[in-house]
Amino acid sequence: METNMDKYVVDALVRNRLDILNRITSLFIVKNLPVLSVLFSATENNMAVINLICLCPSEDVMKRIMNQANNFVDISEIYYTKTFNPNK
Amino acid sequence: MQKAKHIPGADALIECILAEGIETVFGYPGGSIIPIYDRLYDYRDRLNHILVRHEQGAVHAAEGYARASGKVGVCLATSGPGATNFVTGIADAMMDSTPIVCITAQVEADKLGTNFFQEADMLGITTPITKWNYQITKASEIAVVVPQAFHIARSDRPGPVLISLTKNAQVEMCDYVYDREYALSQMVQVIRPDESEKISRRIGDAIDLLNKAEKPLIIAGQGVIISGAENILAKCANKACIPVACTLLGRSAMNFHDHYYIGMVGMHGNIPANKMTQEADVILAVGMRFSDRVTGRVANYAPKAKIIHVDIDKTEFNKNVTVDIKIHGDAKEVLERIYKGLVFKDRESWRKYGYEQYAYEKEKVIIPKLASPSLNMAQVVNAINDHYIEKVSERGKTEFGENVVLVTDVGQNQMFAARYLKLTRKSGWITSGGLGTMGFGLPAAIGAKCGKPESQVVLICGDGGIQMTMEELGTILQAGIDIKIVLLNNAFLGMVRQWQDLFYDKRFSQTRLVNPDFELICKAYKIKYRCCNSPADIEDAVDEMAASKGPFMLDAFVDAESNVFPMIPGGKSLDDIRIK
Repeated sequence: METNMDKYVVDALVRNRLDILNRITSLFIVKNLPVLSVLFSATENNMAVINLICLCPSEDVMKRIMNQANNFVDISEIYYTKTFNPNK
Repeated sequence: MQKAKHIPGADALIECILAEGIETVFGYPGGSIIPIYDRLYDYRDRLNHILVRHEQGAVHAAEGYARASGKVGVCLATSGPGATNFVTGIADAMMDSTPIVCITAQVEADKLGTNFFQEADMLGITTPITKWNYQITKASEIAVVVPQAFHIARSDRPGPVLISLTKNAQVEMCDYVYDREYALSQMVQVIRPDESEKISRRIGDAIDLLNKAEKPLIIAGQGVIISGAENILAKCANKACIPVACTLLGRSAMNFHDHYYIGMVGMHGNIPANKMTQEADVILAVGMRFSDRVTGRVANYAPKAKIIHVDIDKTEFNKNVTVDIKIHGDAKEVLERIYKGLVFKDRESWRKYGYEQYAYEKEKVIIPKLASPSLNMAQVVNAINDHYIEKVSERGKTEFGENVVLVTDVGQNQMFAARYLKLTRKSGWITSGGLGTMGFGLPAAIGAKCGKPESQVVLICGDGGIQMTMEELGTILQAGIDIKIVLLNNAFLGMVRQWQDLFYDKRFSQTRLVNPDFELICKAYKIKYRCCNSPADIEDAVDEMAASKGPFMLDAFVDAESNVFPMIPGGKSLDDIRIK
C-alpha cells in the first residue's frame, strides 16, 4: 500500500441504485489509487450518501477525479476534504 | 395526457426506440432476447433491423450510423457472450464520444447471480466504459429508463449507454405511455453553481489574448463537428487571420482548400500544423482533448503558447496539458461569442511561415510519395480524391465531397487517408481515434450507409483490419448495402511493421500476413472485385469503382516497405519530426 500519499475524505450525494458504489470506487481503481474505507447510507428519497476515504498523490489528481465524478449522471453532489495521513 | 397502452415490455422497448426517431437498429438474436425479436417481427415496416454476423459488428455499425446521421445508434444483443462481444465497441464509443444505446438481454431477474446459462454481469463489466448503464428488471421501468438512456447518450459530451434488460421484463405486461418530460424529471437533479459570469469573463480574456497575439493558432477537434461549429470556426479564422489545424477526428472540421487550413496535428500530422503548434504564442483548442498522440512529450508541447481550451467536458481541462484559460461550454456557442470580439490583424508573416513549412513537407514527403514507381497508399488515396469523390460530386451536381462519407479502419491506411484525403466540412469522416480499434472500418461503413443512405460510402482499410470483422461481408450481402471497399493490401500489419522497422531493428515479429484470395471471398459474397498493383493502373481501377453500382472491392496491392511520414516517435516532442 502506498503510504506516501495524502489522505482524502470524499462525500457524495448520489442516486440510490445498485451499482453506484461500483461506479464511484472505479474512479479510484482506474487510477490505481487505494480506497481505505467506504460508508454508504441510504436516505428516504431514493438518494444515498457515500463517505469514502482514499489515498491520492496530489490535489490536482483529486480535482480531476471530482470533475469526472461530476459527469456521472447519478451523482448529485460530490466534494473532498484533505486530511492528515499519519503514515506519510 | 396520452392513454396508456397495455403491452409487453418488449413492445414498450420498441415503441420507445421509434419514439426517439430511430429507423434502423443493428443486432443479433439469441436465447434471452428472443421475446424482443419476436415482437420486432410485427414492427418490420417501421423499424429496419440489420442482422449482423457478430455483435462487435453491431456496435461498430451503430457507431457509424450515429456519426453519419447525427442520431443515436442502437444495437441489440443477447445476454452473456452476445453482450460481452459489445465491449470493444462500447469502449471505442466512449473514447470517441459517440452516442449509442446498447441493449443487451439478461437472464430472468430471479436467476441473477446463479451462473445461469449465458449470464454475464454486464453492469459490472461496462461500468468503466459507459457514460451510464442500467439494468431493467421490471417492464414498468422501460418507459422511464429508455428515454433517459437516449437523453444521456446524446446530451453534453455524447457517449455510450448500456441497458441490460432481464428476460422477465421483456415478457411482462405494462401500462406504456411515452412521456419524455416525465422520464427526464426522474433523473437526479444535479446541483451546479451558476458559472455564466465566470465563463463570460474568460471568453473576454480569450478574445483579448487572441487579438493581441502575433502567432495565434486554432486547433479544432471532433467537438467542433459534434456541435456543428464548422461554419463559425471558418468565420473566426477568416475574420482574425488565424491558421487552423485539426485533430484526427476533427479532420473534416475545416475545408482542405481553405486558406487558413494548415493540416492535421499529431504523430503523423502535417509539418506546418506541428511546427506552428511549437511556435504559436496563443493556441485556441476547441473540442479536443490533448491526447498523447497530439501532444507528443507533454513537457515540450507548445512551449511558447498561452493555451485557451474550450470543451463541453470539464474533465478534460488540465488533464494532459496545463492550460491558461478554461472555457466550459458548447463549441458552437463559445465560438460565436469569441467571433463577435475578434478583430482583424495582419498576420501575413505567420501564415507565410506555415506555407514555407508546407512547401518543405511537399518537397520532402508528399511529392516523392506520389511519384513513387511502386504503388503505395498515398497514390491510392490521391486517386480516390480525383477519380472518386470528384466524379461522385459531379454526378450528383454537388460541392466537392458533399455526398461522400469516408470511413477508415486503423493503422497505416487510416493515417494515409487522414493525411491525403481532401475532406470538406460537408464530407462525412468516420474513424476510430481514441481506442484505435482494428476491425472498426467495415461494420462502421455499413452503419454509415444505413444512417446516410443518400451518400456514397467509401471504406479505406488494410488487409489486417478487414480480416478482423470480415464476416460482416455477409451483412452487406443480406441487407444489400452499397459500400465501396478500398483494400490497401500490403500483406503486413503495416503500422506495427513500421515501428519494428524504425525502432526494433527491423525484427518483423509476427507482422507478416498470409492473406486469403480476396477475389474468391468477394465472389462468395457477390461483391464486385478489381485488383490493382501499379500506379499506372490505379486511376482506371478507381474509375471503375466510381462507375459501378452496388458493393465493390478494390484490392490495391501496395508497397509493403512504405512507411507513413512525417512521424513523431512515441514519447518524443513535436520538434522531433522524422521525415524518413
